[in-house]
Amino acid sequence: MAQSVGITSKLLGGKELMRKMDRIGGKSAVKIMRSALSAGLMPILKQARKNAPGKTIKKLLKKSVKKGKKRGTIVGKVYVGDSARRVKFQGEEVGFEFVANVLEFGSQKRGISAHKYLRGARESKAQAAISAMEKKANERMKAEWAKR
Amino acid sequence: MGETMSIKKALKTKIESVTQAASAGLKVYYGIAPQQAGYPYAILNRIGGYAFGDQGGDECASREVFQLDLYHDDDEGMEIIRNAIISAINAQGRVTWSSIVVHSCTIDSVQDLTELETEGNEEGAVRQMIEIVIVYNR
Repeated sequence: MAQSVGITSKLLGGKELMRKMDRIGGKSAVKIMRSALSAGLMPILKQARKNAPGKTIKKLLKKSVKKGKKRGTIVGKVYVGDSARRVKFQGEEVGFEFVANVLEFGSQKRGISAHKYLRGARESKAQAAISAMEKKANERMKAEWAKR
Repeated sequence: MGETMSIKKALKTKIESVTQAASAGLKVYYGIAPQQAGYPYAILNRIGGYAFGDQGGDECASREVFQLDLYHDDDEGMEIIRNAIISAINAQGRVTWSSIVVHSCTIDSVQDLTELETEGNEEGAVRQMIEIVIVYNR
């Protein structure tokens, strides 16, 4: 399949936040950013769960924060986990990833319109995600300064 | 005075007016196409969006994201229509679509989703999805 179930979004904090982060630098900044990104994904994850068609997808929706392939980057994503699981769908046995994709993007052949439960959540909660990231990063930075 | 045209309708009109699409008889549907729809056809869906800018001023803008799915029974025909649509709607400056001021229209991604349209080993239509981001004046 050309794409994975997870929808990855680049969320950048404000300029001021980035300046403060530069001053802290090193491993502490990475820790702060990881925790901020994790907080930023929460509104998107919650909205995706609200949008999700069916209990199984709601249950399988997860978030993850990892090191990116490019050095110095951190990647956060909201995705449908356990996608290798085999399920019966319209009389056919398929991987759950397939079902999750059909529901996200729609399928004319299967008579299903796009539910866009992931991308819709990303679009409607992008601003809330940035605010949550900034809030978390500021809290963690204050704590970091206090330690010094 | 007529009702203000929505950006979704303006985008549909813009796509249907692309020469290569019109000459191939491309029809654009919202949500899902009728089962008897003939190739080529397209389905337009709104993914989401939000408003920003000065709420009281002229520069009160909105950002909207759309999913356009193109269906064709022929790879080459698909490529011609897809490229023509992308080049016609791509706008980096201020343009006007059906009286709506569009500040930018960019292609966020293009994906081949043919696999979602096949059952078992059966080969059917070719499907490509284009994600479109539009910033326009409300």
